[in-house]
Amino acid sequence: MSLLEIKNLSVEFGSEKNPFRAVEGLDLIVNQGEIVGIVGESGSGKSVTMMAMMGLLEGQGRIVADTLQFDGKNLLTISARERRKIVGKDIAMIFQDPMTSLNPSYTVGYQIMEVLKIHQGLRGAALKQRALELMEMVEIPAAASRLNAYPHQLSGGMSQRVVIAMAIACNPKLLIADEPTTALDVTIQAQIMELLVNLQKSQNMALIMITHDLAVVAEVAHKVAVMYAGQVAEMAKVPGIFRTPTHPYTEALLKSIPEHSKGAHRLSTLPGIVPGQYDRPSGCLLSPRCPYVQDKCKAQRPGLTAIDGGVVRCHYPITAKEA
Amino acid sequence: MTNANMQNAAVPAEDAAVNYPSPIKEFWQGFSYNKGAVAGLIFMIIVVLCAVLAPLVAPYSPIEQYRDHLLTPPAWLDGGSSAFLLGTDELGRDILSRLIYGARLSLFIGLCSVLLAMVPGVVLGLLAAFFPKVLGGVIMRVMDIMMALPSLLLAVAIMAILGPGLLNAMIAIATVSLPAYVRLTRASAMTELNRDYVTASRVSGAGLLRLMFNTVLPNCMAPLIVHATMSFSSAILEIAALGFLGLGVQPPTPEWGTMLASARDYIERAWWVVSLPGLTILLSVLAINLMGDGLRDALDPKLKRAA
Amino acid sequence: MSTVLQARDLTRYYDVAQGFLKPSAQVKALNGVSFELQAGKTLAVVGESGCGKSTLARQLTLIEPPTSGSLLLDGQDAAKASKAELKAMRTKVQMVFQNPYASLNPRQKIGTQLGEPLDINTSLSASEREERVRAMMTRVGLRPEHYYRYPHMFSGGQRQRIAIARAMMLNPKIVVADEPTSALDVSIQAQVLNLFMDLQEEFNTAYVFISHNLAVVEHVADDLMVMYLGRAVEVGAKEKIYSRPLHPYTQALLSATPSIHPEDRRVKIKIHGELPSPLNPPSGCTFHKRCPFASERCQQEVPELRALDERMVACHHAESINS
Repeated sequence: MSLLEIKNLSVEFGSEKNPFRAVEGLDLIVNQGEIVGIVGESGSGKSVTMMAMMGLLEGQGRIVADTLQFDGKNLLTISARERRKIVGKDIAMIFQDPMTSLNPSYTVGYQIMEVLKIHQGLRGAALKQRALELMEMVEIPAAASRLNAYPHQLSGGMSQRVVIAMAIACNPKLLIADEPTTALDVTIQAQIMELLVNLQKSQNMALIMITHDLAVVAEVAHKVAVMYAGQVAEMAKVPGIFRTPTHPYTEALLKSIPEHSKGAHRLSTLPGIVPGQYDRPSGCLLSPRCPYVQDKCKAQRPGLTAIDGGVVRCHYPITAKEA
Repeated sequence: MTNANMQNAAVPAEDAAVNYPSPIKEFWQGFSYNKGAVAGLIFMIIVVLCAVLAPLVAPYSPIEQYRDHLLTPPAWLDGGSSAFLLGTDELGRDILSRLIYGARLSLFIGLCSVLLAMVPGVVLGLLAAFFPKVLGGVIMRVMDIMMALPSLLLAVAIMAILGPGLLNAMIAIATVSLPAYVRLTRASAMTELNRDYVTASRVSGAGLLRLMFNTVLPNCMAPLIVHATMSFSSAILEIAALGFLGLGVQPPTPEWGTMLASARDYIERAWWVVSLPGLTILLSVLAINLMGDGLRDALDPKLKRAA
Repeated sequence: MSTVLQARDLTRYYDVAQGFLKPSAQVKALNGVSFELQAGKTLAVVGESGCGKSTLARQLTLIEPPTSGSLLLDGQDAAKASKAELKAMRTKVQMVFQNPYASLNPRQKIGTQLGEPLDINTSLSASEREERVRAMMTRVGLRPEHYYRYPHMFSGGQRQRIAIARAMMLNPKIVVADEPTSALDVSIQAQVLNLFMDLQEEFNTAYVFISHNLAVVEHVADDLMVMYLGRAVEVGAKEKIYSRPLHPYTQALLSATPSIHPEDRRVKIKIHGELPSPLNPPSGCTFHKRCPFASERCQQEVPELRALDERMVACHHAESINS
């Protein structure tokens, strides 16, 4: 059985009369010990999906789904109390900016111990022992002295390590990392990525990696979902998706990376911008920008079709030969 | 190359359908969202209209004394007369007319003292932000000293030096509220100064004056406008307080605070002589403060959506 | 080919207050940097936070005078120029900033902002200015009808186009671009990079391109300067450095950059630890604390830039590491 199963998830914001669909018909399956990358540009609904799944959108968005199951529990029907037991314990999250995800008024030790107190009921010496252990797990040098440090006394990389320590404090089954390295320097970025992957292996967690950087997920993920304007455009295994993308958007994203067109003077680009709240086309969401657009694409929204090892949302998926 | 240009040029065409409201319309949308602010605005429009059209609106001259109608109660009370809607004061003057004419002076004083404080305050604040080392230190320390004194006491002291009178009262009030403007301007100018667009303006060769007034100041205006509105009401209160102490506007000129002060002896016999000017001041200040809230909602960029 | 920019031994120190009654400390943000830039060429400056990239940009754009060293713009020495000459020199160097949301004045119409450089530096009439602004807007792919719009009505990519248009208004010899695409989405980044390349071709502008994204740098740069804590550690032609980096830090940076295709991936070189504080830099070679090849000599002796294999490198052991 898969650890996380999402079927046909939609999230709407705004008034009933004039809704804005941030996420539309999203399917996602994450198995234990798997690394899944969710890639997309800003506003594609990557983060909203995860927030909706964890019930962090209460009161703001309307969430509809056929299935929203984590570890055998239906997240749609459980009470807020039960959800709190799962979120933060079995599901943990890391955010983009480590500086703002730590509370500046408390020492990092206090913040780690707080998590352990709430979720594991540890007290006294055992508490401190476990906090130290966690700090060492995330490879923070001189952990004992760093326990008494305040977030502003640590560098960005160190802070992100502390955030990771807090996230794995309760041995979560699923760790969600929302752009965990974007705010960091290149060499530090590599260190943090390595740490995350090592932890994922040693703890046998599932890891969902939300990012806009294709190269990052290409190196570590087992499976990648590419999102466009609230929908999954394509989901497939790595490295297949990067070698033979079947959705025109995936192909365009790959082509627009400088790495792809080495030696070329110009990069190939996808013209236009992601459709906003009010200008979503009636047909395929990519149709105004798609280089292979046909009449059918403008009239009718494509559904998800199964392809070799994944799914794609396109009337005319690119076959291996064309790519 | 041509092909490339075409592609580039085609890029923004997509969003042409999206219409953005003009800044004024956007401001009004934010402002009208706050019901209290609109109510305050309507009340103030009425007050301002009354003040401007005083000779047409007021039934009598504000200084004419009707000796046979001393202390007439308002029309709806026993012994009231429909000739004097809000009654008369101890010298037989029509209170309604005095209130209407008084609005002129009170609003004028409020406006002038706000301007007198805001203009030098903004200039000093900008100077302090642009030259933080020496000039900024000196200006801010002087302002700190001014803020360390109780404001009314400082105003009274200034009045004692300058002598009573309308202009001097405005100067006194302006001086007292100066430090708040300086601090506010300096704080917001300092944050704006670190923004890239200021550097961009510098790189394109902008001089000091252009940087100060063209580039930075418009972006500091939102909190200043809100503060100016709020201090408009406190200026009315302060001028009333000075008037009450006999240092402000001299009788028989109608002014709300002075009216309050000269009527204080009759508070037990004829409550309306005291209460009506008091109520007018209260309502106006409340209306202006509500407006200030609405302005803050409409102008504060933090509350705007992060477009 | 004419040299438009020549920096010789540029240094910039900042005084930092240490506390009440303590003497202020000196941060050597830029510690002796020299390079040359030819018209129509791109020099990429690469490094992590605190390496002095932004300080360098402030020197090059003449916002701040250097503490020592000389800067020759188009053959003219900035240190010896009179006030009027300096004003004329300023028009030759323009800048594009990282965050397009902060680099445009939110209270000014686009047309006014684009016209400002002309207003200050030329005696063109208002209608001539408007004409030029509209022409430039078309050139960078904006609709000239948007002349009267405010910045918040544009998307991030369009704002960056506006910022580029503003930099190009005076037809400068040099444009300093400080991480111009790092705040943009992948597909928008490609559009903006293409615009940069087109404009360079058309106007023969020289770029100083500051970035931490080595994939982007590889695409745009002709020459490369890798900086670490205020010093250049490796300077040379892009092809040379990318194909065979000699300095251990360059090697680490390149290997830390993730890449999509496994065949492009370099052997990961692990470098440990955090970036040292510029307030208290390590003795000798500033990189020795993180360098896997550091010897005793590196702790004591500051390595000078020296020519090796057709580029300049500042490492005592460059030969032995790379043999």
